[in-house]
Amino acid sequence: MNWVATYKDGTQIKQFDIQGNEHQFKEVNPAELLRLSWVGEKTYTIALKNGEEPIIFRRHTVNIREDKIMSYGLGIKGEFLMLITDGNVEVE
Amino acid sequence: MAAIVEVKEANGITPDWTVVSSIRFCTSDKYNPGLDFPLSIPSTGYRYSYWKTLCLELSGAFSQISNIKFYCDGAVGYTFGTDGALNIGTKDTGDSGLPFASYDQATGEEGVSGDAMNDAANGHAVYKGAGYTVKNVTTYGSGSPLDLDSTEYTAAGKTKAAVLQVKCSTVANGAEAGLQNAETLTFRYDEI
Repeated sequence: MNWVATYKDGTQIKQFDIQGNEHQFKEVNPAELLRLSWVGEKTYTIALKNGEEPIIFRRHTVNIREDKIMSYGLGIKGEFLMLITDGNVEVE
Repeated sequence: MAAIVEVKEANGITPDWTVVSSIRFCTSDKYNPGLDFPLSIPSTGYRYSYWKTLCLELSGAFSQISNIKFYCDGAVGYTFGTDGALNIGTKDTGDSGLPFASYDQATGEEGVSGDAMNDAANGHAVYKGAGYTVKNVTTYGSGSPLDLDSTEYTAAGKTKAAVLQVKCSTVANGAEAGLQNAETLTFRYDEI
């Protein structure tokens, strides 16, 4: 899945833009975020209010044989965290 | 381009860091000496492998890598006897990984036995100390992994390291000689 950040003014930064360039999440201004999504076969979105800090990550496992993505995380600091694994969502 | 994360082992004094495709617990400060320097079964007491220092090398493009954990896949199938173990150095409070600046080369009698990590005289400079405990790595499974490194990395570099060592008991305690089955040890991290 790839992330999409939507600002309060409606503009978006996508992990991959239409030219296919990959953006880093550090380019996103969290203070101006309205929504944050993981987009794949399904879309998982959180809505942010003023002052809320987003959590977003890919959780990897790595051993000497392979590095693979195990799950995707999306949430709000101090509030909740969704862990999305093979389409199943677990909320902490 | 995404983050590139590789497992590296440290050996030597400086140390040298090698990307490892396999590691072998043995009685020398080498990451994989093949079948040389085997850990043989003692007639009494214990023998130890030289301890191994393993970290993640972070490179490529990423915003942040954090929440680094370490665990094994459950039981360890080595036939090192009922009181033998695959051990890992842990810190009693906070994250357990070894900072780069605290690296301590593995020591022992080459070809015979490593020094026990928690030996008061010859053990690991960090993990023999107060506030640190050597534990069986089976303490840490995927559901309760070891907190290895709580640092939030925003640039390339090495994470804190896991320090591991095999402790082998006697035949009387069930130890059996021979090539041991491969075990899976896993690092986990969050990346964005």
